[in-house]
Amino acid sequence: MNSLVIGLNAYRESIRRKTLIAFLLFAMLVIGSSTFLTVLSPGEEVKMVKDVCLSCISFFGMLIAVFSAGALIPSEVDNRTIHTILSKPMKRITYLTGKYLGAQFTILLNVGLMAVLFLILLYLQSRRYVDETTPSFSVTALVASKAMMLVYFELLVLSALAFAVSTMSTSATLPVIAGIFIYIVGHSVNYLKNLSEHSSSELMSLIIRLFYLILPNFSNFYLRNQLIQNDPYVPQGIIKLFIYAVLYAGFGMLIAYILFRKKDV
Amino acid sequence: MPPAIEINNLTKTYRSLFGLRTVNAVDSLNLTVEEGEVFGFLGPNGAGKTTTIKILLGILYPSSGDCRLFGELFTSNSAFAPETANSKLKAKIGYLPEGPYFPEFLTGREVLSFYGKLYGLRGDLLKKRIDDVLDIVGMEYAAGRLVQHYSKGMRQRIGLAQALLSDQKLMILDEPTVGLDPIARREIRDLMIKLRNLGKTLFVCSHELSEVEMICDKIAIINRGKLIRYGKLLDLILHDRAVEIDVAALAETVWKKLESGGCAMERAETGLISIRLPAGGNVYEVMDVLRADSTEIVGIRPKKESLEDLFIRSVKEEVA
Repeated sequence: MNSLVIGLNAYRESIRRKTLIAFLLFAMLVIGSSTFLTVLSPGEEVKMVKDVCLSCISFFGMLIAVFSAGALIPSEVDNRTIHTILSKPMKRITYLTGKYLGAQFTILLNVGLMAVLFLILLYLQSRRYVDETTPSFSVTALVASKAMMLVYFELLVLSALAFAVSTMSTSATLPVIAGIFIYIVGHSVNYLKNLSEHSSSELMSLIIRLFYLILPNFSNFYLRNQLIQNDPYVPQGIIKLFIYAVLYAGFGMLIAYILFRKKDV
Repeated sequence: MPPAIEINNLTKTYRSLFGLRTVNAVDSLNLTVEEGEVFGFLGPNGAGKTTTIKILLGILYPSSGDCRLFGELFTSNSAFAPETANSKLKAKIGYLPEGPYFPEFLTGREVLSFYGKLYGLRGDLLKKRIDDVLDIVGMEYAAGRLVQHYSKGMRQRIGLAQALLSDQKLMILDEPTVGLDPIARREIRDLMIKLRNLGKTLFVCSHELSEVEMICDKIAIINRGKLIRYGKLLDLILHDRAVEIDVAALAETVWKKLESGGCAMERAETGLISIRLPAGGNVYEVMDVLRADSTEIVGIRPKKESLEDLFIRSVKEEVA
């Protein structure tokens, strides 16, 4: 129960952060203006909107996730509110779970708002470009919703890993940089596999393969092709991807707990 | 009845990045605070007071030694010590940090509600406790204002209010009156006396020595992490149980006699002469000398040192 109390407080704190508000406003601006970009690709307007919006939600979602999850604990250490909170009757795992929950509420709210705007745009586009070959809005909305859900799963993992880094950091800079790095590497994991296969050194190949096996593969969560082709089929399966995300998030939280359990704050 | 706080051989060592340099912020500290006592924990800046308090609260972990609260092991350096007991015992502690900081986006009442919920208070009980503590610290009038608009004194009062929320048995107060105006300081002091009368154990860390002298039963002075004075306040300030004798006038022969016996005479502004006996001096022998000369004795009083003098002397002696 204390986790929820801390989570709600962390959420209230996060949604007041000027950085996060700026990211959300900027994301909304990019999503909203994507309809104007359609003039660049006549005949592929809907595809353009989908492409821009999904990339935008993924990118700004990443920024919001790493800034909200990565800054919560360092800012609380910095302004010393953590001392009063940790002196209260609760375990450190409760505190960590609460903070992570707070970050999830923030991410969900932001991704939710961006997704709603995206769906509104898709609806407007579907009414504007109607022909026999264009699938109905309901099919597009279903695929888009799945894509948004998977973006959130990705952010669930990313925020847990940034959160784990934040427990050993005294400022928000390190977890934010680490979060962005993990996002980039996570989207490049498939290249690591190719790299390991083509590496001349066996040791190097082994190391790269180890990274490939350890790092979360964020491209699993990116449904760009399905969204553009209006294909509701998710190759890895939503449930499997959810379990995959939860396991990685759990791993991140475990690392966070190990680092924070006996940490002097 | 087990002591409220028992600190055994507590050491906290900070190491530099590669462990080349080490600093003992707290060094083999042993203390006992009995239940119902008002304990003054004193020391110059950087002496290790706040480190000790943070260890007592489970915010820092000791390098060696342990702390027991109400007879139960609270914190030790064991990597596998369970947090369960720690968490259960924290319910008995109210903590006012130095210069308390709160989430700026909350009102005073919301701050208390947040901390009250962390103590497990809910619903009407929480509301009643918040009203009670706001009344105690005199902050009802500003409870609806955002904390970011509070003055230093108001933050201090809300800090004290959150420490009182769950009616704890042990209050750890770090600089409770710092930054307060004289009226607020007096009110907080009266509040501490009220808490003492309610049977609560108070562990007060303060630089306001006159206040500590007024309210504390027992004190400890630490410097560079080490305990340098510890005991009942009266025992420490009543130096060596020695006495001073005030007389209206002193004949020159008596003066010389007393001086040769090791006494020190001092003429006060009031016109009286104070005779300070040497350490271990026999008061009856001095009285006999005075009586033999029919010297008028105005008063006999224990030789008392102010806490400030004791503090400065102790720290200087330790440094020397």
